[in-house]
Parts: sequence; C-alpha cells; structure tokens
Amino acid sequence: MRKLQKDPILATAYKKWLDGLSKPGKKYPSYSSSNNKYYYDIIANLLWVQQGLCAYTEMYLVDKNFVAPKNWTKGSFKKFEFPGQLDHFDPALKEIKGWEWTNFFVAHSDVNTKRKRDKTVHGIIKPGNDNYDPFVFLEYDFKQHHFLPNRNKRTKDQQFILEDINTLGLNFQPIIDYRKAFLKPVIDEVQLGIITLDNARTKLDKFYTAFEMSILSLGLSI
Amino acid sequence: MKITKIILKDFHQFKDVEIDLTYPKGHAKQGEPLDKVCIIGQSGTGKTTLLKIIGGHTFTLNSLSNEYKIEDFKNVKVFKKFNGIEIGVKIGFHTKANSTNHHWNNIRSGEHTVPFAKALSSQKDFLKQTKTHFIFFPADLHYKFETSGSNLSTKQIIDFRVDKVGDIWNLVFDEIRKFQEEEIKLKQEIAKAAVESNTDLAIIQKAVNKLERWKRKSENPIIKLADECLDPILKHINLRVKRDFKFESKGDIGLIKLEDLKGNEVPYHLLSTGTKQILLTALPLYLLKPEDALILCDEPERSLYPNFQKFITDFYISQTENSQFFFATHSPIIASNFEPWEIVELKFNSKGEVYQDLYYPKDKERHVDNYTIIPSYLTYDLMLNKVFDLTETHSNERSEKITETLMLRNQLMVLKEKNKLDSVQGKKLYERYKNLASKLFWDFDLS
Repeated sequence: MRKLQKDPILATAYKKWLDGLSKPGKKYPSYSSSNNKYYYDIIANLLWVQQGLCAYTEMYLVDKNFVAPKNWTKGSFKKFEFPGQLDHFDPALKEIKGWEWTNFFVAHSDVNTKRKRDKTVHGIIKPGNDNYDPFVFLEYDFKQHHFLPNRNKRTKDQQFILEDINTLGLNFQPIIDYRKAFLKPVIDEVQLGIITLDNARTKLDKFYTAFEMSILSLGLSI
Repeated sequence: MKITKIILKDFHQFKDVEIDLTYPKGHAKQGEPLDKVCIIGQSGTGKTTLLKIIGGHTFTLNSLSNEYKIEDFKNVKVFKKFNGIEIGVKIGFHTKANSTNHHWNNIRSGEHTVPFAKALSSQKDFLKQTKTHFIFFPADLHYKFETSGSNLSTKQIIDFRVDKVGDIWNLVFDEIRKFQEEEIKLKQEIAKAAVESNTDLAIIQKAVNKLERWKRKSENPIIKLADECLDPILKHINLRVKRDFKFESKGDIGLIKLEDLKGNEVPYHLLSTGTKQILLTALPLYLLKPEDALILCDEPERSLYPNFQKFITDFYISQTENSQFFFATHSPIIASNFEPWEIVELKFNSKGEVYQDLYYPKDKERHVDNYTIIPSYLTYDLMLNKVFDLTETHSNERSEKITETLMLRNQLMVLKEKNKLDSVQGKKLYERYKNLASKLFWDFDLS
C-alpha cells in the first residue's frame, strides 16, 4: 500500500462545491453515490492520484493515462465505467461528512465488498496520511507474500496495523495469489540475473510496494 | 464408435461452440478420437445437455426428441468415427415418415469422401461386430434394485434412464445360481452315497472325486467377480464379496453378498449410498465387457468419498475395451485424472453465453506443448483455482492466521537479537507462535 499524495485536485468543480459546504448556514448533504454530479469527478481524480491502482492492495484497475489531466474539461470528468468501488476509509464519516476528499479512496471491488465493507479501521496505515510510509509501518514476507506489521513498531501498534492490513484486504487470499503469481517470476529473474533491477521495475504496473520490499529483504536493492 | 467433434450453434446457451475431441498435434495419437473426455463447468453451462446431445446424435434419438424441440438442433452437428470413416450427424424431421431421424453429411475417410451407401454398410458391419454399442449412466441413477426381466446382454443400447440396473445383475445371478445348484447337487450325491454305500468307502470317494473334478473344471462366478471386479475397489471401504456360503436358506442361492473384513454379512439395504453407486455402475461394465462402445457417465463422483473419486474413472475404463468415455463432473479430483486436451470446460461469458475454455493461448495452435494448464501437475488447491476458477481456495481466517503467525515470528526474531528469547515474554510468545503454526500444519514458508 503506497503513500498517496492526494494532490493535485483535478476535480476543481467538486472542490469548490465541497469548500462551499463549510460556509456558515450551509447544510452538509447526505452521501449518495448515484445522486451527485461530482461522483465521477471524484473517482477519476482518485484514480489519477492512485495511478490507476487500488489504493490499498495496488491491484491494477485502469490505465492511469485515461484519467490524466489532459482528459479533463473545466475541472470535470465524463461518466465512465471503472472496475473498482469508491470507499469511505472511515465508514463513520459516511453519515456525517460523506463527501470529504481525504476520506475517499478507490478500492478493488472484491476487496471492498468482501473485506473492507463498512469495517472500522484504526487508521494508522491510511495511504493519505502525512506520516504514512509503508517501509516504516509494514514489512513484506516475500516467501508467503503477506504484508506484516513492521516488527519495530510497538506490540500494540503491530496488533492495530495487523487488523488494518486484514480489513484493507492487503492479505486477502485471491490478492495474495495474484500478487505472488505476478511478482515471483519477476523477482526470480532479478535473482538469477536475467534482468536488471531497473528493467524489472519497468515491467511493473502494480504491486510496487511488495516488489520493493521483497528486493530489500533479499538484499538485491541498489 | 467414437465422437471426434461437436458443433453447437444457436442451441440454447451455446451460441457458437466447436469442441474438438481428437488428440492434439504432438501427441502419439494425433487426430484420433480421444479415449476419454471430462466435461466440467458451472451448473447450467450444459454438461448433462452435452451428454444427451452425444447420445441423441448416435443412439438415443428418441430420448432427445422427447426432451427437446427438434428444430432447436438445426445448427448442431456431432461427428462420429468408426472403421476409419468419419461422419457428421445432424438431426432432422422427415415429413413423409412423420419422424425424426439422423442426417449424415461430411462423410470422409481421411482426405477422401466416402459414398453414403458405403458408409452405411460399414456402420452396419461395425455395429454387428460389437455387442454393446452404448451405455448411459445418468446422474440420478436409481439405487432401488428393480428389474424388468429384460436381457441386457443382448441389448445394444443401454440407457439407465429407462433400463433397470437390476436386469444387469440378473445376468450374473443366473450364472451364480446354476453354479451353486450344481455344487449342492454334487454334495447331495456324496451324502446319498454315504447313506446308501453302507461302509463302502470307494463309492463315497467316487462321489467326492466327482465334486473335486467339477470344482477344478468350473470357475466359481462369485470368486471371479470378486477378484476381477468388486474386491479391488471394495477393499477401500473395508468390504469384500462373500465367497463362502453354507446354503442354509434359499436366499443363499444366486445372490452376491458383501461382508466386512471380519466376515459379517452386510445386507444391501444397509450399504452406504456410495457403495451402492459402485455396485450399480461397476457391474454393468464388468458383466457386459463393452468393446468399441460409447459410454456416458454423468457425475461419476456422486456419493463417493475423495479417495474413491481418485481412481473410479480409471477403474471404469479398465473394465472395457477400446471404448470412448464421457464423464460430466463437478469434482476436481476426477478432473485431475485427465490430460488438458481431454477436458472440455464450459464457461459463461459476460453475455450469459457458453463457450469452451481452452487451456492454450488463442494465438497458438492446439499442440500438446502449448497447453498451459496440466491437471496432473497441480495440487487440488490449484485445480480448484486454475481449472475450476475458484478464486478463494481457503478461508479468510486461514490467511489472517498465517499473517499473525509470521508476525509472531518476527517478534521472536526481535527478541532473539536482544537475547531475550528466554524471558517470560519470549517463552509466552513462542508458545503462541508454535500453537498457531501447528494448527496451520506448518504449511507456510518462512523467510
């Protein structure tokens, strides 16, 4: 799970509307995905900052170029089909502040419906947090292809991180299988010296964090 | 007779499917019809329908026309092969005769076209040479021991949707009864000699010798059946065929009885459903010994424990000669016994239409080297995942517990670096780790 800079805000029409909601006398509208004209702007903007990947598992969702700034018109993006779901990171905010930009991420559909759903998270490993750094909070077991809490964190924090890893679907079994099948041959080629590390990096279009952590664990990083 | 190809166009959920049932390029039998085929696919994709289509285009046309509208089959074609001649078979309606019948076309022998009359004559010759042409075991095979009095040994087309399995048993019952009656008769002769001979041992010995000679000459059909067919499979469930009879009652004559390994007889009605399934399907094949037959078997795994599923298809095949088998199954264990080119996997596309999932890339030819999924190389987990498309091959709980175990190990490693493994905390942690790991059967890799 990469750290995400949620800038730039391409959805300027949405941003203006959102900022307007905090003005005195304004009533905050309840969240409804089908009832808001900024819905696809939010999705497209998130997919751009997430580089086309699921914010949590780094599963490939769309070609990032599709949602690139050049394809936007006056701060809006056209309605489009996308293979993911808009997630409220903190589900408690959905009721009271359902349109907050900082609480939105696009997640892989299976992860969202089968793991994350409306589960509460501790929030230590939120991809948009300023202090979030996957290398500080997480480890990657390159044999089992599981994410783990960083062993240097306090035991209690490790437990919270572990719970969030599970909730966010980082170790959801089909994702593990997919990640393993994708990364194993690439890492093997690096280990055997068939390709260079730089070449391997150019082959990646997903699972960047797991790859870099595996390389680090194997002592192959430069 | 064997099936080489099936073309299904605009037939219910099959919009445009062509199934090649020959050995692929690079195989020693390249181009020849497959000896066995395994049809898999989600419920509703048409596995059983495919079996019925094969049957209907060869031997059980009436059953097919009773269930479906004949006009539905206008774009369905099944190719069959016998004596080197391959024929495309379609079903049509003969207006004058007011009947449905098979239409032949694409009649070929290798590259050459064969005249219809020659093919017809060749088929007649072929069918004359074979005793049993066709057997169909439906998924809802009846466990009731029913008979109709029909002699199935002379019947060429046996469809257990309508035929009674009990009629097959009659074949062996008659043989057993005759054998046992003869044995009783000869034993009675000894008893009679003992009574009438007074003390003349020579007369008694003569009667005993007669029995011995008969025993040497005659093969006990129960022992033969036990050795050649039933006991090798029944041993897996701790049963065997009862060989010794005391002929204390009329019921001891002419029946096949099973007993446990301690010799306790197990009545038919107390046998498990799986055991009945084995008896009902194995005996017809053993007794009819089909040669060059077409044998369709829907859900052979029914009621069978996994260890049975592992060998049941090979067992069926071993009871026949040069026959072609079609198995429709939901079992990954059964499917694992097949080569990838022997598996017909039916799948729904996004429009709800059925297509065949080929196990080689679309841009490559059907060659043994191009198959990317080889069932015999896979674990059952992988069979479920790669062949049966089950993405979640174990529970979330298992994934979570593996993560937790690895995390505990990391914590142990930290304590080790600090030389604190011997501390109370270290010992507690290790106990938790070991306990969890053993519940996972240590089935995870350690970095």
